[in-house]
This record gives sequence, C-alpha cells and structure tokens, in this order.
Amino acid sequence: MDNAVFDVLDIIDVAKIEGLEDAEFSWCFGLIACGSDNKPNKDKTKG
Amino acid sequence: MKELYFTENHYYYSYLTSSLFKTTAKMSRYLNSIEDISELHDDYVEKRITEELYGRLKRLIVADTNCMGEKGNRITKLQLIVNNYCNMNCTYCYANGGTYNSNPTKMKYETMVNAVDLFFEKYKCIEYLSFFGGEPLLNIESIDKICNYVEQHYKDRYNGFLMMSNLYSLSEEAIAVIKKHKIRITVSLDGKEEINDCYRKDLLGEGSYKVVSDNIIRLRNKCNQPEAIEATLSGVHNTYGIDGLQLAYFFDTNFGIKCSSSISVKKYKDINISEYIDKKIDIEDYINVFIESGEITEPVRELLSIIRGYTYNKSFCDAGIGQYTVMSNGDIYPCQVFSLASEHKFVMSNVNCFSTEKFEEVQNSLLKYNKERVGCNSCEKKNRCHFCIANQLVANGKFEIPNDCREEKEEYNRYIEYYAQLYDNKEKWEAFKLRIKESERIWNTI
Repeated sequence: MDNAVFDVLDIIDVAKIEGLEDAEFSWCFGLIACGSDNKPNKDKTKG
Repeated sequence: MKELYFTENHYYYSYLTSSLFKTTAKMSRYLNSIEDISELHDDYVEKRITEELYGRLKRLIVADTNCMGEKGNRITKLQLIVNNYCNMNCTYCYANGGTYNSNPTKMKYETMVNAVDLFFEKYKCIEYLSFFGGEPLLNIESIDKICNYVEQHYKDRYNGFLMMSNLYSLSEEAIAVIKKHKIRITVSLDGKEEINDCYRKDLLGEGSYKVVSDNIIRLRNKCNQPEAIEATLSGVHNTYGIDGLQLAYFFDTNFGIKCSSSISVKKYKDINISEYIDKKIDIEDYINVFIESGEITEPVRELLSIIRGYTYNKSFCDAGIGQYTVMSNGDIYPCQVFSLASEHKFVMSNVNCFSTEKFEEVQNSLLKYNKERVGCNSCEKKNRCHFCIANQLVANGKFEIPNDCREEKEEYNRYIEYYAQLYDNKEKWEAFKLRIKESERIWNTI
C-alpha cells in the first residue's frame, strides 16, 4: 500500500469535523430528571 | 475491524470509539483489506501510510477507557430530596407516595447546608443543584434559603438550579422564588385530561389535570417556566393511540413547551397499572419535527447522544460517581432509587455525620457492577449501554444482565444508520445543525 494514494479527506471523523464531538447539549439533556444524561428510554423511573 | 458498520456510501461506524467516519471508496477498499488491527500499525511502521492518516485511522480502533462520571473534579448533579411526602397520589409512583418507604420528613435547612458544603468541598464544580421530592414545592421556604446560600458562597462553581415538580400546588411565594433564583422546572404530566387523570390523582383520588394545566400556564406567563414536561407512558396511551411525538405536539400546542420526555411506566409490586407497549419508533419523523419546529424528544436525545460520542464507560450509570442524591434525612445515595433497595446497603453515609470510609465503600461496591465484570465486555453496544442497576436491585433484589438485548442492539443500529443518512443529506444536515444552534440559543437566554 502506497501512502501517496491516500488524501487526508479519504477518511473524516464526522463529529470531530462538525465540532459536535463531546458536545454538552445541556439544552437537550439538562432538564431530564432521571440519573445519567445518556440513558436509553427504557428502564427509567420517575417520581 | 468487526466493530465497523458499513453503508453503501462508505460510512463506517466504530462501536469501540462511538464515532462515524466518512470514507472514500478507495479508503473503504483499504480498510476492508485489513484483516487485523495490527496490520494498520505495520503499514504505519513500514511507512506505507502517513502518520497523519494512521492517527485518523487509529480513532477507528483505539478507545480510551474511563469510568463514567469522572469529569475532572466536577459532578453533574447534586440532588436534594427536599421532602419525602407529596400532595398527589399517583397510582404508578415507584416511591410509595414520594416517601421512599421512610417517615415523611421535610429536609431541614441545616441539612441542605451540610449537603452543599460537603459536596462543594469534595468537588470544584457541581453543574446543577436539583430539587426533588416528594413534591419539592412543599418546602419552598428552605429552597429559597439554600439558593441564597449557594449564590452567596459558591458563585461561579455551579451552572444553575433545577426542580422536578408536579405543579399541583403553586403559591405566589413559590413563583417569586422560582423567578428570583431562575430555577429551571420540569413538570410531570401524562398528556390530555382523560389520559393524565387515569393515574395522576390528588390525595382525594381526583384527577389533577385541570389544576396542573392552569398552574403551568400561570407559571409560563410569569417566568417562562416550566421548560420541560416529563410524561409517563402507560397502556392508556396505547388505548388512545398516543405516542411520544403526539405528546410533544400536545405540550407545544397547549403550553408552548418544546422539551419533553416520555418514559414507559415501570411496574413495581402488584400495582394495578397497564404497561405501555412500545412500537418501533420512526426516527426520521421525530428528527423532521425537531428540524421543523424544535420539539426535543427522546429520539432527538438518543441521536445527539450518539453523535457526540463517548469513550468507553465501564459503568452502566454515573450515579454515586458523577451525581449524588441526598434524602430528606441527610442520607446520601447514588440516586433515589437505590434508597428503595433492601437493607439500605447503598447508603453512602449521611451529610450530618459524614464518613469517608462508608462513602468509598459504597463507591467500590458500585464498581462491582461494571460491564467487564458482569460479562458485557464483548457486546457491540457496551459503549452506549446504560442498563439501570438500581431498578433491578429494587425489583429483583439482585443484579443480572438481561438474557437478550437483541432489540436494544437493533435500535442502536437503526440510529447509526439514520445518522449516516442524515449526514449524507447535506441540506438536511445543515438544517439539523441550525436547529441545534437555535435550541442552544433559547436555552441560554432563559
């Protein structure tokens, strides 16, 4: 495999290039009552 | 390279690093020709690929491992159960009328101060101080005082205050406190009157919709709160043919609230409730509605959570590591659900007589339930699995990993596929990003 055949754009990390990697998104997760901000919508409990 | 997900448009998804990669056909052929990860390294060492390219490719196959919740010296949330009694009596309440099976108590102001001082001593930053119950508005006086205290003593070390309320009782004094401290409110409501009143009843067994909806409108008019609604989905929603998306429309149309969360009811003991039968979510419908009118729903959260990605978390949940709950008597738990487990073995000490030894002992026992130890190590979804340990410990008295996670994995793959499709549609992706910015702007202006 010759490295000259590849260009830097031959592989891009989508979230990184779009500035969304590790984004907080507080507006989306901040107000949800249950535990971890990243839970699936099953097995949650609420008061 | 088995971890990679592939579409005809040359998108790869690495389960290991939770990242989507767009590649060219040429690169795709190269990646497919690699049988073993070490070949990639060999190609780099023998200078067949450049250092820059190797660096990019490494993100496909190398993940950092960490423990969820470890974010330097900060925690996401300190939750205070400011009282453990309620002015409502919802049929499905997992907390036994908000009592968590303890004597009804109002949290003393001194206990609140001890809790806040203790955790600000342990951590540089507590992102949110959250008020929960019972019904927290029944202790509004102490909430006002503790907000004053935090504002005075810990300025710049927290982002704000949150409250989860049923808004059944809303005094003018409470409105003034919410306004004064900019407390962000999430209210519980299950939908239109006929649905809500099936299970959300007051202490006399009467439906609560009329009172609560009037209070939501009253508070919205005064200070744009509540910002979010959390609904519990049950079989009643199935009967009326209502899903999370229709609920989101309902909440926006009736109250101007765009952020909602719909959670399936969890059946504890022999409570007479009908469970929600999940139907397959059409992700695109939810994302279209988000783009068009800004409705923030569970599928939007799930997709955004996949987009931002994560390094591998060994723990299922950050409770007891990145967030804590202090009960009304001062007992510290990873989260309030753990307080329902038998023998109170997850009590991490008490804020009024703190013991580091006990605190760390429970933290260590929580680490026993990490994915590697319980046998989830080879699962492709392990990065994103947040199976609720506390629910299981309460329901079954012990923790067991599910026998069959096929449905969850299928759903995960549907989201990944949708993510690649969305990114591939440039016009729609830009509209999606624009909506993210707009939602962020609105959040920051409240």
